[in-house]
Amino acid sequence: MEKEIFDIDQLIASRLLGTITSDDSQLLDIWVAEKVENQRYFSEQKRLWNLFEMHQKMQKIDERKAYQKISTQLFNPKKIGLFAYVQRIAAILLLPVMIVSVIYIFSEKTDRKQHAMVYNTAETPLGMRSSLTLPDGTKVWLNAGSKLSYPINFSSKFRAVSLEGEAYFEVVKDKKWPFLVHSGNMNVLVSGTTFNCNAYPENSLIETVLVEGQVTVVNESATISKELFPNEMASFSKREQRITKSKVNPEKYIAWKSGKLMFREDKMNLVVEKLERWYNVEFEIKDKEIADYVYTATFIDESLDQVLKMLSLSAPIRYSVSERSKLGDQTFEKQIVKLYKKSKI
Amino acid sequence: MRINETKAITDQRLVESIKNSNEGVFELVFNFYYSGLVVYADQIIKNTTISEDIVQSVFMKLWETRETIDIRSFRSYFIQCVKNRCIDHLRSQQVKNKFDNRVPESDFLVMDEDLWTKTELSDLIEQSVESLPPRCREIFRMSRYENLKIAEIADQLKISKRTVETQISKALKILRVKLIDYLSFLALIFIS
Repeated sequence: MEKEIFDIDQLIASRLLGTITSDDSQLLDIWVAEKVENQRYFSEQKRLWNLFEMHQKMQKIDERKAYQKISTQLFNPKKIGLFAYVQRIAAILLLPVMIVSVIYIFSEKTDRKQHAMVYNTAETPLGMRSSLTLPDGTKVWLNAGSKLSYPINFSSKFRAVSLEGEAYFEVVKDKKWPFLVHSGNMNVLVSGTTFNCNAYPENSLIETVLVEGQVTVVNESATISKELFPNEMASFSKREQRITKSKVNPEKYIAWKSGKLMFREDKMNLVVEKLERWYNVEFEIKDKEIADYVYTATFIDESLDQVLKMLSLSAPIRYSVSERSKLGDQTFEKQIVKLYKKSKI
Repeated sequence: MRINETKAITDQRLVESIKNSNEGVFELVFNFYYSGLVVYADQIIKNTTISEDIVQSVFMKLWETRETIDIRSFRSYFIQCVKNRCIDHLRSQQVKNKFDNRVPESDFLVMDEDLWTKTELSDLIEQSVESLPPRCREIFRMSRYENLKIAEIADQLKISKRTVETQISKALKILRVKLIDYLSFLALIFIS
């Protein structure tokens, strides 16, 4: 018969998608019934399809909430302490490759008394950057509008800090004393390494770029983890709890630490967002198209005025800067920069 | 596969910790298997809320009887428990509802033994979808992950519906080659 004319994969796809016509549907059924091989092929494609459906369903299930539900029934309701938390993180990392030495952590009594921790918080206002050294010798650079809290004395088990905003870390190497950066609902687990973590609360992504060494990015419920190697970036989406890895040139991501503002084919809305923090000003994009312009430039120690001038020279943009007006309590309002599309003339 | 090879050692250690009432390890095992088991149960029960209840009750039972458990592999232990409870549930439903003699589709028998964990499945799928040609990948994502209808995709990308279908069938053809080992591999391992 002349059945070879039709594309069987197309028929199967349209059956799976539910868009198949009744003629095609009959054709497909005949093809499937023809041979055992055909039957198997068809059922394998269905299973393949199913795999993606399962994946999608799984993404929607919240194991954290479920665990809370059963744990309140099983255990005395209590807050999960930092120790139990880190233990959990440590445990998930062990799942793929079990290392006997770390099992040691498990065997210890979980109800060990925890020492009260005293925390320091380092904070940089908008428009400023700073650097500091942690109790273990780890160096941290904090970008504008960022906050880092860390205990005055790290616990003997791990070094845990929490970050809001962007920071660059040079962690002192100590394999037995893991370093943990907690931000939003994500963690970066480190033994000794250099990396940049961008976790401003208003962004939907947390981006970790590894310069040297090795880190593992883990979500809060410790169900998803990804290892990073140098020149890789992990983008963690806070809402979907997904981690995507990509190859990057770290230079752009860490330039800020040496006072450079670097843009490499970045969209204007990202450029504007960085400039806002860098110069502590507010931008208003007046013409929507501007947001999608792609921009490449490096600024070193330039004033806002110069940056804006360069921006308007190299992109079809013009700008206006508002005067700072005095507010009632003798403070000044933020400067507002308005961006317009340049008219064609 | 790497996970399966090391599974035996891993499970033994984890079971030991649970026997010693280590809540942290219990939670870890819960987080690792929970969503996969719910989806597994859901294939039998066709009701996510009940499936969640069933899986939760399996874990509660595990904790309550932890001192006497004898588990060699979490995977087969959980599958067995969840499957039994699902069947119990279906039976009780049939008793309640005599006229509803819904028999699970035969497809489910094929899917029966596939238990994936979120981490495993995400890794696997991400890698294989990443290998699709860009256009094909975009259309596949839109269809499978953004739940767009064929007509909507065609509309957005200004192409014909037929082209959308062709791209998806192309994607499936490529993904099949990438994933076929896993499809049959699992079926072999867990049918026992």
